[in-house]
Amino acid sequence: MIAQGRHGLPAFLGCMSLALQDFLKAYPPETLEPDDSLITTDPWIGASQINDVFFVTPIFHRRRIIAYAMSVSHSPDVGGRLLSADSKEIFEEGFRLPIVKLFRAGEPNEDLFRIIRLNVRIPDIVVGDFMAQLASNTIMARRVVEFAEARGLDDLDDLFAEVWARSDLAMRQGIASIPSGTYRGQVETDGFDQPITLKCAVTVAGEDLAVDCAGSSPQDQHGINCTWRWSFAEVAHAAICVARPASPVNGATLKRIRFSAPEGTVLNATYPSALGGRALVSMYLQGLIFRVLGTAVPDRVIAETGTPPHLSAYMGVGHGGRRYVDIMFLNGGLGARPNRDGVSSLGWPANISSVPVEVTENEKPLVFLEKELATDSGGAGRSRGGLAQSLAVRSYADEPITVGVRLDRIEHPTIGLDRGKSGGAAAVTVNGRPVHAKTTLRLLPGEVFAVRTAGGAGYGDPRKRDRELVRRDVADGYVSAEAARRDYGLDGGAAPKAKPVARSTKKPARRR
Amino acid sequence: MPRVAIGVDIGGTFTDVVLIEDGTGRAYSAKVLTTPEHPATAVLEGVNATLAQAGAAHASARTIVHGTTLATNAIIQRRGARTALLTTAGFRDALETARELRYDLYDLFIEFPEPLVPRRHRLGVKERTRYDGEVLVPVDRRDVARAVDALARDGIEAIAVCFLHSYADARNEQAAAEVIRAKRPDASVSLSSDVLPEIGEYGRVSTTVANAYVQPLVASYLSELVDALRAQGSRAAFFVMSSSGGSLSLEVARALPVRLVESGPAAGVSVATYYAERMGRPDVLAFDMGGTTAKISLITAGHPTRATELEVARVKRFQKGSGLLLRAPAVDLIEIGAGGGSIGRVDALGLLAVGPDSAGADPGPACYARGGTAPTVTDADLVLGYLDPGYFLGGAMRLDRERAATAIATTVAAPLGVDVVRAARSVHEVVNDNMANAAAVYAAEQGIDLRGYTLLAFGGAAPAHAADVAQRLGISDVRVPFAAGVLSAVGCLASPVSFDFSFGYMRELKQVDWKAVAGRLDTLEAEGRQLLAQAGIEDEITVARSADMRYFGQRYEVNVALPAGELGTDLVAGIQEAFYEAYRQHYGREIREVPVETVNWRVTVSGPRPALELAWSSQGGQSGPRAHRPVFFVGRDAAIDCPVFDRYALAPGATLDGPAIVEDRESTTVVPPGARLSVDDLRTLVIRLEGRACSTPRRSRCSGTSSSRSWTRRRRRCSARRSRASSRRRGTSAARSSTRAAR
Repeated sequence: MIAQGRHGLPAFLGCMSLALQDFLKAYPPETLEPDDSLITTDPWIGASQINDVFFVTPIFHRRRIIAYAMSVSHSPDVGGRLLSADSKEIFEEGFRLPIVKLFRAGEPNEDLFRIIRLNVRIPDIVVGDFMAQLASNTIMARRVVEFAEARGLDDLDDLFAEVWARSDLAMRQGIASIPSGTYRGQVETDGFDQPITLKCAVTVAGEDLAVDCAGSSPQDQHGINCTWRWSFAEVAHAAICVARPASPVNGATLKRIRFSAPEGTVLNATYPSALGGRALVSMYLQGLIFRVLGTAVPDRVIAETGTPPHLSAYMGVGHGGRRYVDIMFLNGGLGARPNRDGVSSLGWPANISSVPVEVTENEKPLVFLEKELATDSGGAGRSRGGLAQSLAVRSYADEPITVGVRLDRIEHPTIGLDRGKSGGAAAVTVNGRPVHAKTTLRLLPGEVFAVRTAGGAGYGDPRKRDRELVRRDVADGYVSAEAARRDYGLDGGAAPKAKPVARSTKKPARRR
Repeated sequence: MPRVAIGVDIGGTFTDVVLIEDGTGRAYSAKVLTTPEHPATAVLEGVNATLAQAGAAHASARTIVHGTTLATNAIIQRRGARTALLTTAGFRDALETARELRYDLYDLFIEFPEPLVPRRHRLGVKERTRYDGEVLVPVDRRDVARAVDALARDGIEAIAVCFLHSYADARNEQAAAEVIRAKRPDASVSLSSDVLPEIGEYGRVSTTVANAYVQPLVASYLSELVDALRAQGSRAAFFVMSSSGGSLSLEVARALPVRLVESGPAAGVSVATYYAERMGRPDVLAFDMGGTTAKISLITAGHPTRATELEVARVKRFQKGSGLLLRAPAVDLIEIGAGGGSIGRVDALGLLAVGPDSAGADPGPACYARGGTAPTVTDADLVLGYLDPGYFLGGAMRLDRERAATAIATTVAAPLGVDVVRAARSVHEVVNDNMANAAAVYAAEQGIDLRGYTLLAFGGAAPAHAADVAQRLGISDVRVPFAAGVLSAVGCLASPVSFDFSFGYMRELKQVDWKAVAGRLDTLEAEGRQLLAQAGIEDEITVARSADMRYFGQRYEVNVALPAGELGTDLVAGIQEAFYEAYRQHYGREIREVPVETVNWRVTVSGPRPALELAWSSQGGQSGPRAHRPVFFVGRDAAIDCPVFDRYALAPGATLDGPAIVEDRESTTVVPPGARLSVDDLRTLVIRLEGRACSTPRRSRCSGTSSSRSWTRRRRRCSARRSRASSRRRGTSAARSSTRAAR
């Protein structure tokens, strides 16, 4: 992979760099012609979820393939049951497309489209997304050809070799800037019913970096498993954040990182395990690796972030009678940094954000009661963790809404660094009653679904935090006066005046 | 006494004033230092200077139009009012959580701008409106009163109100405003339903808060300025440039100052639009390169590209996504960290990088001899012979060539292992490549092919870089207008009075209630006509209506013009086709399976574009070359003994062949070998690069000759060969080979 997008999910980008080899095995270059496009949704080839649609288009220039354009998108609807964490086999999660040619010389494979349309709930939207991906690949291909033509080049091999070499050099320099050694650690997640343990040993040896996750929990019978590629991509994202290569990230950057996890573990799950809730486990990996490498380079890592975000899928009937399948993202708080507070409510590690309340209400019969930062959810520390969010929404639909709840960190709040404290734990309730964070439920008309994400952890001793900053946090309601006394040791005499209006802190469904 | 029009552009450093006589088009200009504490002082000084030049009195000015960076700077420097925000209870943090997206996937130390209102001053009140405008909970007036009382204790001067779905029904916001005004008649109040009644709580609240934040400052500044001019006897009608390239009446500018955020850059785009029409070249790439940044905007078919949102106060320079989002109609432009002061350095990978950091004006480039040691683009231009060390700013400042060469030798040439000239040329080419690449990506994002565009160069550094940038983009027509240093002030006078309105209404196209939509559009149009009438404009009014549309469930919209006349269901098919066309232009294909939906709707009501006539006075001088000096051109190893011309002596109709250097007090125009230069009736330098658009690496195929004529001939052959091989090439990268070699 020579060049990648600058937005989106770092893990998608990591998986893309590996998936292409499978496409080329299935369809060697000599079997491809201009305007062909290949597709797959096989999670062991792609990104560990049946919803991730991989799209590959060969780029022809002067009758030869000079590169491939590739894109990934997440389709909320791939048939099967609603996306959730409580499937037990991949077959429940929808239909899988092997690597197949969806477009032959620009012509759609109508048989395939008929099968796809028959197997999804909202064929127009699903096919529309495919077409959008085709459009993006086509534009990518056109631009690359224009570039080659403008420079009068038959191919781009020399350029690619140069880019590859420099990216490789940059990553080697980045890794070498971390003191050599083996750094070990582990973390526990909520799991489905039982906690899951993730272990890692990060070995830095000069310009090489290897991450071994042997000893992690075996794969789960529920859909919270990850494929090897997905786990690698999350680990690689973390390693790149710490190494900070001086070049844009591409396949060469990724290739410097070695990863191992025994087959049959939760980070290298085998067929036919269910995978729909992969992020509920894998998104602990970045925080784990930062904590582990923090012993070597404390100034280059951050405390744990309140990830995974809230990722529940939901489906029902929208305004105008149109059926919908969507995801209700809600981000948590970024972990504190050695020199500054964590950002409140930020897409991490997946760079995603929630849909505006006003847009959702225009589409669906829902009324939001709250979407606000959660006071005291940022972990205390010399630098404070970013705050999580609380969300509450009431249905006024005529029929039940199906919700595939996907949330973690109910029992395992974020872990601070260097005596920093944990952030607030996550919670999910219906009408104020806690519900299982990985269940599929029916939200009845009039019921209130409420979620709180996890706050980022703190960094450093909270009692060493600048008193002025503590007082400011209290005045702003990021930290309550009580927590300021308890966690930061702020004496009562210096407490600022009470917040002017109390109403905004009334949360309808906060308690678990 | 002839009547005159006065244009004023207040920048961070200089205030430029241009006065144009009605009828004759005679133009006079002045450049004075901006007075940040009391901007009116500098404006008055500049206006008085131009009036004196023209022998006119204040009373002869019929209109004064000005652009200002005041609103932007107030936000960047956090000098606005102490502002509070009232929101729907439970939603006070939309301002802070913002887009929730990282602009860098791998930066753990990423930063975002602080919201303009701290959380302690963001208060929720009990109220609720539904998406369709139904008021579920009327606003609790006691709640509002309590909030206002609490805020008064904190010395709040401005209050923004942004309730959910107020774009669909503004009653709750208006009721809250009544309570606020009754209790705090002194406070400035901004309602989101007035400032930006569009869908999407973050964009609306961010814009409304910014409006409240700058309102007191802008209002008092405008009053001060108008009072000062009136005191001198001015009876001129007063207008302010908006971000969208139209001018606003004083009253609208006072109420909606957030519309002024891109006022200065909009004036630049406005003058480019004027020149596009005046030159008969409807497709123009406006290229404004100064000391720190380059700005690029596009005029297509006579109209500037427009945006519905912009970003200010970025915490990471030039990084989209790192600033405060404002949704307001604006001319679209990109800003690149490339200017005369941009610093060249060799990075950890052994690559030469130029910018975005800049030596600024102090200490400035090494050649300013003010203590700067970093090699800059200006230093490279001096070493290459483009600039005359004795005629910088018309000779007002002497440049030190030795210091420039030393800086480049130490920081660039030595680590790369090349000689000083090669290093200087690499700096020059890399900065040009940066700008050309940014322009190419920007054009590509809009589905625009730049070949066939005219590059219009203004700003101090642009004329020296324009020809090479054009070549990299496959553009063969370059124009350098006269008096480029004060052109933005001319742009103020070239813009029509206009008002932009919008409202949110999200529906599937097939479910739109056309009667309701037409009613709202008509109301806004009538409001616009009334505002124009207040400004004395009754005729030649144009109304443009459009809708932001997308495929159902998407999150990105394209703007689609609506047909004139009565809107109804019979037009749905046509509007849908127009959407497909717009989508196809952006994304290459349409998708007919998916339904189409509308999001925000827009109306722009404009008066006529002023019939501006310009006549720059000639100052005479020697018409032949006034000197020769050795100059290193891009793609050529040896220096050419190049003739240097005095721009003020080049009369309309004059022509000459490149290579040539043309100097004026504000800038130096580089005419490369093989190019042809002529001077048009507006004294604009017209540079034709035909026969030079060869896109192969010059050094390998086309260089190695010393006579410019044979070089040109070879280039033509080369070009013909390339044309046969590929009919769709764009851009050139002659530089790339040499730059890479240098690396």
